Amino acid sequence: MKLRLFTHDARWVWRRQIHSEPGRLLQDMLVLHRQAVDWNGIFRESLEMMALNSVADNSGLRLENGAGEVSWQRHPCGTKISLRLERFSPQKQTLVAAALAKAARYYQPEEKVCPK
Amino acid sequence: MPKVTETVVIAAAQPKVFEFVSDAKRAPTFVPGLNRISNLSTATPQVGRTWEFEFNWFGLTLSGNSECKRFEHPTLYQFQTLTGAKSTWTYRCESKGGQTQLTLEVEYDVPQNLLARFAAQPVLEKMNQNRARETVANLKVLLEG
Repeated sequence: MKLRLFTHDARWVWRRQIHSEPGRLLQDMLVLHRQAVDWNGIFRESLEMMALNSVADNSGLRLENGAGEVSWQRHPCGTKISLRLERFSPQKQTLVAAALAKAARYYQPEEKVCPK
Repeated sequence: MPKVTETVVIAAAQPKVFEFVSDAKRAPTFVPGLNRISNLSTATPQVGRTWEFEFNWFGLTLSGNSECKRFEHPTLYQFQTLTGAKSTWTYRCESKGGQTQLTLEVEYDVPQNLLARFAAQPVLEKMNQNRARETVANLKVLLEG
């Protein structure tokens, strides 16, 4: 086992959570990165991991049944990601937001299954 | 080896719960502190499947390898962390009138140098108990919606 103080190849992510009204979670993330990132692939797969289906639109991904959306915009030093969640319980909204933030920080698109 | 056990009843069918917990790539969504899973050896869960993990242990990053040891659909899933501080994670799913009783048992080995450096054993046990409790609570939230 390796023990380190820092994680190599993780992206820097700043999260800002805004609760505009009960039953809805709003969160912004600013992610620093130099190379292009496949956000569509990262977030679609992360949502699937939580058994949440999504469809792509012009700005990002929309969750099924109007449960929210995640969108992203290229920024000079990285990407600004906006998340809106509703219809789920507050606990589930918090978990989904945390999982997407974790994916934004750690998920590497090249991490695919390696057949033996 | 010290052991912590947590049980929760989830309002979802037994196969759905089992399939969710037994796919290692889902684990970062419900295990607190688990940063990522990578290099899965097979596309689907099965005995012998291996993967790498990276874990945030109270500010320190631990990484290592794991292997699936038992996969008995839809009742029992077990894997072991193979490197460093060894641990065995066992998930048991039992059908209870349309709901599922999920039990998570974690047996873990604590290297004495790690223990001496970071925590007294009772404190470490409490931290692991809390983490197991959070894990099953998160599974309930994700699967019940």
